[in-house]
Amino acid sequence: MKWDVSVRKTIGAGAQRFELDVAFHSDVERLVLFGPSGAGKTMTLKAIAGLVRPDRGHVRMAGSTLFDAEARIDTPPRRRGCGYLFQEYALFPHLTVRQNVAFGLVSGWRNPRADAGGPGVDRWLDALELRPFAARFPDQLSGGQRQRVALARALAGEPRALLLDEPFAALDEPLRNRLRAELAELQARLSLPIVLITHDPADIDAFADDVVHVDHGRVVAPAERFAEEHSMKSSARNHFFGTVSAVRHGTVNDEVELALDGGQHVVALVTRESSERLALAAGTKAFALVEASSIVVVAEPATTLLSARNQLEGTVVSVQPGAVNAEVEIDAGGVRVVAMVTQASARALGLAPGAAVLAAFKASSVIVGVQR
Amino acid sequence: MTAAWVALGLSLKVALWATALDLVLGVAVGFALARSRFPGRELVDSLLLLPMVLPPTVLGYYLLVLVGRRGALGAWLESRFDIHLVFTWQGAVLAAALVGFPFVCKAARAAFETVDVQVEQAARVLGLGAPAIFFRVTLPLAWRGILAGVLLAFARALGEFGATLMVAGSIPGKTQTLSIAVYEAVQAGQDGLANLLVALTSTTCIVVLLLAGRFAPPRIAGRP
Repeated sequence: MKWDVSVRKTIGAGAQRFELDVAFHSDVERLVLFGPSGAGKTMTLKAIAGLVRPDRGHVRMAGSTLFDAEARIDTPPRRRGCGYLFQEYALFPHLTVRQNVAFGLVSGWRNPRADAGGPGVDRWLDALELRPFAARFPDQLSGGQRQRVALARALAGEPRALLLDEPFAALDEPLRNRLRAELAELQARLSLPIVLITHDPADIDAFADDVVHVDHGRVVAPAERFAEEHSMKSSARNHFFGTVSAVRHGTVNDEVELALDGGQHVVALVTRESSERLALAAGTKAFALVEASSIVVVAEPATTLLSARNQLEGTVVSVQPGAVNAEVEIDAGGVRVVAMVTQASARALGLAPGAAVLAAFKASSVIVGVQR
Repeated sequence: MTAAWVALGLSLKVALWATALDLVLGVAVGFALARSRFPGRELVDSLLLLPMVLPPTVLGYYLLVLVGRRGALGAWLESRFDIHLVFTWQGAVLAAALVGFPFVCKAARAAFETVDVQVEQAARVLGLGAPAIFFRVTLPLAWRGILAGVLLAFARALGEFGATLMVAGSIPGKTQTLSIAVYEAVQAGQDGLANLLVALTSTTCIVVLLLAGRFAPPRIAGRP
């Protein structure tokens, strides 16, 4: 078993209290921990690396126990053999690319010299095409170059496994795609076990042999995972699972009401023909797909009346800015809603984590489906 | 006239030793305050500012009580190590170090707090122990902020008057620093000597400022 992890930790108190209780095991080389920001992914990864000490549980990697609360085993990070890629890369700003890569190879109280060399350094500078930038400082590099330096630095110590914290989040889309491919290729070449954490489903498609879904500090149950993985095969970013609670027949269209697992209701307009083909009736297990761009975000839910049939109240969890659009993730009482709005709108509405909003969408922009 | 040069030499010696003492202690205490969490941390932080706000004569009095021949520490130092601090240049160093300490300590704490903890964690994962992380990552990144505090402490030590006079007195050639010599010269009506001392003090301060500008790196050390 490559990974056998079970960690529990409580931090903070009162409203700030966060409880992590994550357990998983996996035998694949490319494992992805997937979940929204604040789900506890980074804390889990740091517990594997030894940077966070769990209150209870164990961490086993390829059969060796790195941490076991009961057996009082706590291997210090430097002897765990994990390469770690931090979210913002955490390069040493006062050292050159070469010194950064050589950093872990030199012991003692002095940093590697500017001309630090040796096969261990040169190999990785070459492997990641960093030779031309070897004398530069991190703030003289682009985002993609910084990521490669961080990778070279982590790999230079010849780790037994690589832990990657949102490795592509700080990059723009085209570069992201290229580096995903590069990382997958590098992994295959070194056959090095990798755990990658991300909130971006595209990373799963590009990289994952196995996925562990984490939310609110817990691993999401396998049944839900199964459902989510099925819906991942659609391009729509929103997939709501539930049971048909009512079908109201019209002349051309049927109005289908779906009671979601979280208690909310979604109304969809479905043609008579489709409704009959899917055999939709009260009690049918079904799901609803909604494009992120079909969802309108309303910033002042209390004072607004809208014609849209679907209005889910919630709070903004995260706003991920892209080139033109921003992706707004909303927690509507346990149901995740992803809306795509323009950057300008996101700014004008003051969308930020914690903001109370309404996610509104027309009944006609909902596609209803059932599993065969 | 040689008296003036002797005073200058003594002033520099006292200020340099005091700054060196502040550097070691201020960085250590500043680091502890920035990185450790203990109840009363902010109270300790406020108390460490006291040398900045108390009148120097009051500080000098406290020092006398502590390290005087009948003081708790002074008596012990004398009986155990035969060390005398009152009316010696070492006593002047102690006084100057005390008034300069808050500058280094404050600056060091602020500088350490700006160092990204993730960067230190990166060093940990790469195999370094705590002392190596401090000297290879934390200190180089905080150095510029600390240096600003050190220069202030040096300037303060150079101009120290009240506490030094209380502890070390004004013994020409032994404990009479520039600022004290200026006072004595004016009191004795030796205007010529006073003028020279004042000019010497001003020049020294300007040179220190220029050196500070010369050696304080414009960016992080090693950058082009």
